[in-house]
Amino acid sequence: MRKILLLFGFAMLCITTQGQEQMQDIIKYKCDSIFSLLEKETNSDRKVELIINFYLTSIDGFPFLLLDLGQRLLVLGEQRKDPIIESSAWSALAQGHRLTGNYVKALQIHGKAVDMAEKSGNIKLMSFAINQMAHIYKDRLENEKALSLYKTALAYAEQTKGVGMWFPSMNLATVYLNMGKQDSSLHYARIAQRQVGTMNMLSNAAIIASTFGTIHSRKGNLDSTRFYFDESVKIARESASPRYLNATYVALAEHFHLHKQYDSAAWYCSMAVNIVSNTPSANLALKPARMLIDYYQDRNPDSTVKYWRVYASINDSVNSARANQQIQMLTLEEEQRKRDIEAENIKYRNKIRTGLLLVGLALFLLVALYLLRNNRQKQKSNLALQKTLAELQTTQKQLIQSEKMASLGELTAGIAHEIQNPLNFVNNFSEVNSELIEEAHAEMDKGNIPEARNILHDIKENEQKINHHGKRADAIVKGMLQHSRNSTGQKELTNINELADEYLRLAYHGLRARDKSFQASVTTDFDPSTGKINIIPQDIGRVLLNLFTNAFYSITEKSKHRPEDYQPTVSVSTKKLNNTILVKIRDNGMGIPKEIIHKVFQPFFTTKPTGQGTGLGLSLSYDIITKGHGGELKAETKEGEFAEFTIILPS
Amino acid sequence: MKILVVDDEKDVQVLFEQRFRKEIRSAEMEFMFAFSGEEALQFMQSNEHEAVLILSDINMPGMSGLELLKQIKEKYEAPPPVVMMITAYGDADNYNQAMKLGADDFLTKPLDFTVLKEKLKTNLV
Repeated sequence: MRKILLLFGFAMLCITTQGQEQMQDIIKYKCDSIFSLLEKETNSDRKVELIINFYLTSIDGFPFLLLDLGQRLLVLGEQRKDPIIESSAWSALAQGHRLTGNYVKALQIHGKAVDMAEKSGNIKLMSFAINQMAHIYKDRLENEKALSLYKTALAYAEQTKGVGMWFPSMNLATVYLNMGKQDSSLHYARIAQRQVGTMNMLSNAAIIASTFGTIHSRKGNLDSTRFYFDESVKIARESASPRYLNATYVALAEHFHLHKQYDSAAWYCSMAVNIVSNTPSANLALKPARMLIDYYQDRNPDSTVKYWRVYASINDSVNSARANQQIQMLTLEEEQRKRDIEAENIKYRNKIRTGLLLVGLALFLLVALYLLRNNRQKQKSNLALQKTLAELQTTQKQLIQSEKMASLGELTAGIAHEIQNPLNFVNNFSEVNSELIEEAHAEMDKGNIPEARNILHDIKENEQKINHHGKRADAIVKGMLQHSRNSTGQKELTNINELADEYLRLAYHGLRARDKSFQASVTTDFDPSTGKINIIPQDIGRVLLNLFTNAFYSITEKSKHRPEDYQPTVSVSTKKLNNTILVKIRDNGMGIPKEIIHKVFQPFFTTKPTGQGTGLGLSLSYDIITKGHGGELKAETKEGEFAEFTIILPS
Repeated sequence: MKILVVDDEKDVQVLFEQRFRKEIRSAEMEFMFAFSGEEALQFMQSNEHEAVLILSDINMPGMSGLELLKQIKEKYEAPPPVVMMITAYGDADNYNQAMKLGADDFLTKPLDFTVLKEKLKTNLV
């Protein structure tokens, strides 16, 4: 029986050795094609997919292939300075070392792989690198550490989709199994199985199947146990990987051991030891060798010694005190590094937060400054506008004043003429009185009292004339002063006819005095029923003066061109109409051209040569009549024939 | 001889009557007054053929002194009245125009009554 078994074992060994070579060739071929695809790929996620695809070729079963692949990836990664490929290179190399039992070196290199993966920022790659690193702890039964890493890898994996994302689940199932937690293991094994789904040819499925087998074995479901182990053995054989076969045999051995079928357990243990002996995965003989020692202890000392040697040599290399210490140190370093990274991250986050806050604050300040500046400028321009307004108002006042003074200039000569007459009377009557007084004395000396009395009577009459003409001159001067003075704005009952007549004379004589050749016939037609109306006499006087001056100017200009048959005429008339008083000033001068008639009441509009008019006369007149008196000022004209301005005032 | 004074200032009458009171009293001069050109023409119509010396202001509302001068010189040839023009504006233009129309003399205001008296006496002789 034993011979047959041994024979079977030998045959298996031969077959598998042959199969191994074939399988390795297939794997190499597959990996080469994946590698050439990877060389061309530029998209990060697709690169990671390709890297995971290496592991779906069952390359895990052959450590030397992994080391070889790792080397090639490292060359490519360093050459391209591609953190994704570099990370995958370190992962492959580390896995190779792990599978050959060199855990210290493997863990060191896994550290680099995780570093690079983090550097690349690719979540899929990080999941993978961490998952791979966790194997070290899984193998060494440092279950808590392994769980923590696999769960991290799973958390990353859950954020992504694609091939190989079931790795952490599968491994978690194994770890829980190692911990004796069948239910947790079952949970993760099912997840892994669901995710593996259609990928039948996957060697890793052997692990999943044997996990299920072990779970059922422990639960006592022997039918299910057999089903899964059959499946596991089948897949492992197809993979031709000593590693997967070893794992399956060990699981079977444990199953038989659990169910006290020690011979079967020993048989599978020896199968597990043999399948890996003289292979890079020789370290996997540790567990079955240990079991065989126990088995042979009381049965066969030779075998006991043989397996003790196997066990001891592996245990020395894998679990030496020095190796344990190094692993611990590396683990500590890794954890420290993680804490550092975390601290760095927090610092970085704080920095960013502070930065954002500062930027926000700066933006806020900028906006505030901008608004403040706007406000300031508005205030400034408001001030400037106020100043300009004040200046404009001052200028307007000055202009009105200068317009008044200009019209005063027009008046001066007229006024002088007007004063001249009363003054002549004053002087003459005064001289006459002097003579009469002499005569009165003479008559009195003669005793001719009645004659003296007559003369005294004359003197008295003359005295009254002197007084009258003195007052007349006084009134004219007062009127002139009033004209130049700012309007008091006080309305008073005024005889519009007298006012119109007075200003007509002033305007006429004013012009006459300046232009001695000036001749014009002036006609007046005052309606006596106008009576007194409530107006500001200075202001209305100014309007009249302006209209008269314009009229005289117009006829003068016309008479220059048509001297022969032209009879220049200015007429003024008043009329009471319902509740209004109409004052019309008409001249038969040049008239106003149609195209400028609408402009005549605009300020600074003038047709007079520069220096002869301010252009404010009609504009001011318009304001005085409309705003000051609630009246109207209208113009009617025919070019070349006449111009008629009508003042309409409420009576 | 009648002297017609034409001026729109009514007090001219009182003034002349005072100034020439001795001449008037001695009937050496007789003054008539008109206060506008139109009034003066009316006077001329009703006193035709009387030897008349006319003293007229030029600047008057309505018919001006120059217009009056023109009409008088056109209408009244026998005997031709002596027309003396008085104006506040003693400019060359006025003067030339008056002379062209046949004015016999040209006086400027204010009137020097001593000079005027002399001129009137000369003309009346």
